[in-house]
Amino acid sequence: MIALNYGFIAILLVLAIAFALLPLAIAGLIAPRRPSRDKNDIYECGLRTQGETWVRFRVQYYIVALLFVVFDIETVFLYPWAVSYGGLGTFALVEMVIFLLMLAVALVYAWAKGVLRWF
Amino acid sequence: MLAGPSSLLLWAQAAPAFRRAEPFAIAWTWWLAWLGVLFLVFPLLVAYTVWAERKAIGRFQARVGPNRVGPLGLLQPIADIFKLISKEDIVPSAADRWVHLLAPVLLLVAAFLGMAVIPFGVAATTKVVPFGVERPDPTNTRDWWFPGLSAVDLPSGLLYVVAVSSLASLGLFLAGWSGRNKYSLIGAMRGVAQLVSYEVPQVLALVPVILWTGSLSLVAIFNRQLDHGWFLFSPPGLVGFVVFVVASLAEVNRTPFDIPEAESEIIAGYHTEYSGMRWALFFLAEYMGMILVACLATVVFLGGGALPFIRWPLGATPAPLLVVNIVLVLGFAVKVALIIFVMFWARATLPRVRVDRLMGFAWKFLVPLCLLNIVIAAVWYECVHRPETPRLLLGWALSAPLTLLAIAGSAWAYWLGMSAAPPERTQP
Amino acid sequence: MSQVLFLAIAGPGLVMALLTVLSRNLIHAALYLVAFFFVVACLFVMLEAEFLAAMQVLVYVGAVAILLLFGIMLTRNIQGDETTRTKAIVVVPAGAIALGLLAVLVLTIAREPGMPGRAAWSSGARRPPSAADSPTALLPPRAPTINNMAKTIGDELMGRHVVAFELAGLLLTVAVVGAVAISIREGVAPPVPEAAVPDTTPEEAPLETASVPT
Repeated sequence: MIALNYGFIAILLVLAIAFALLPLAIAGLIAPRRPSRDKNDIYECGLRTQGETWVRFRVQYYIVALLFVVFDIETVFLYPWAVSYGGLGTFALVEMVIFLLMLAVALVYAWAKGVLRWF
Repeated sequence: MLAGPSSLLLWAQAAPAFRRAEPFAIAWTWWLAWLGVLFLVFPLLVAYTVWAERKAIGRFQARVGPNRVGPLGLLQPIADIFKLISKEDIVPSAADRWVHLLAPVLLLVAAFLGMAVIPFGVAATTKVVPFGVERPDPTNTRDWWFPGLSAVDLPSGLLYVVAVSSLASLGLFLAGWSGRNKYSLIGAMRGVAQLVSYEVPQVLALVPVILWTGSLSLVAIFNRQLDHGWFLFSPPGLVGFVVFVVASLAEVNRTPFDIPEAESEIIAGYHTEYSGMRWALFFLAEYMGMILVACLATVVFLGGGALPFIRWPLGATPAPLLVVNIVLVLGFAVKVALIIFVMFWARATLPRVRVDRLMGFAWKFLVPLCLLNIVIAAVWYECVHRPETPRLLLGWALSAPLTLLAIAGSAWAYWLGMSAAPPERTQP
Repeated sequence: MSQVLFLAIAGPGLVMALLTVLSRNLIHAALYLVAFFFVVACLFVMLEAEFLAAMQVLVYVGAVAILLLFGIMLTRNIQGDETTRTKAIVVVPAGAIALGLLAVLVLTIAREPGMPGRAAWSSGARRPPSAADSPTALLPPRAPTINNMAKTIGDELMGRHVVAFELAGLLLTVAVVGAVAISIREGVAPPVPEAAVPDTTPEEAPLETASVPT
């Protein structure tokens, strides 16, 4: 039963969360707690923070994330292909090369447009 | 209940001591032991990895490193734990409390979950039928597996590790966002951009190995290397290993890829607003992540705990289970320690990479190289893995020049891309 | 047992979906959506499709979530605590459309008769027999698919569905090209710096800094 293995993983997940929260709970019990305005302020090198933090970021980040999603989905196709390649042979290789070439076109386009230039 | 082959139940069938017990009871005994290992041994390992790093970096910088608490400073990590746990737990009043708490937990969970599928040794010395075989052929013992010494053996184990470690980028973003600190938000944005960029080559570098094994199970990958030698000993395997280690270095935010926490410009990056035990969780997650990627690299490219070039202790007639596992686990530990030492070494030697070069290196060099490497891996498969008798010489003669060509081509493309883009300052 | 487990997983999933819609804070909404993606992965595990579960986590929780969050960071100043006010003129038609869609889905799914030779999905925990159980049945072999799903998917992608596979590649390429073409204007250097902080705050004396003797 493969699903049973995931029962263990679910328990591992719960215990890992508990493992992270337990020391925090202990710290909450034994550590001192003396909040003050300055201490609980945002730490920006000792100056009072000015202006809004959650502001607009530039579009490059979004494009990088999009490229990442595209290549992640490529992985979704590459892994099963790699698993069954042994039983398939040359035709599968040609298929995958065509697929990779298409994605390479996307990468080259983004590259040529200067999206990957970071400054 | 017993219908599907999982390594656990196969192990139960194979291990004589448990043969008569209920499968369910065996499963949970086995897993209880693993929970002990995961939650007691690994945190301790992390503590002493930190100690080892401080000692090693100290030596690199002609210092002694920690030497006050206990002999050789061996009790230093324990003292650190007590110090951290007794520090005040500060949450900025402007912060988003729950997200602030969620972020380190997510990072730690990602590191812990990955450990569940790593096979550190073998659970039995008799081979069993692998996943996905419809009608097992009892005369064929070549393609059967030694069940792995791992908590679970998932048919998609490798993909599972990749998937859970991709949770880290989410945790990192939330850490930077929740504190409402400009510097930590910038650190998080940079960090996530770096993590997602390097995840692509990291994942693509594993494809040759899957191609040669024909399975995503880490136990299968380990066993394949028992039959064929380490995957490292081939041009595409070597490239894959190096790319994987470099990309992993970036994935765990280690120097030279520590832009997200560049203390000279953005304070401490995404964990600026964390202190005391909360900060320690980030620290723990980072070192757990280091150990995890080192383990993964060992299983996938360095043949797990197996010795190079020889099949002992797992030959045609394997040594006793205990001997086999002592050798394998020791071999595993040595390889992991070496990879981690390389990480320390890189930290002591290399300065921080500039952010545009960092992103360029992933997208303009590593990704094209990995894509070419997959095709070369297919060539290697046709020469070495598909034929009954491996034609190693032909494989090297074909793939080594191709690999060199691929590296040269990617390097040329990278140089072209970077030199065509002189950094123009738009920052006010 | 599996029914209880399903409810225990799907119930929180429903709550997460609701919270995604109702949350005022965009980042929180995105987080609830991620939690919902995770619940979907759990459901895949329940269906013994662990390859799909791992893919779900990798692509949705790991990648699409980042895309969403970066998309939010791209928007102008609406991720904070600001509440959006909704008017009845918007709420009523939107609610009507949503309920209508739900009705259509429920009716069509409930009327789905099931594939020939298989039980309908709604008939509970009874599963179609696998090829291993009865070798003569004209069913896809389930056992090897469950035990090594990646191989089955790979075989199918390279066999029957090869055109769809290549089309998917084309679609991904189009997505990247489209996004790049929209976001990057020809000949204009990217004008927005890393964090475009609108410097609107009036200049004021630093509060805690002492004057440094020179």
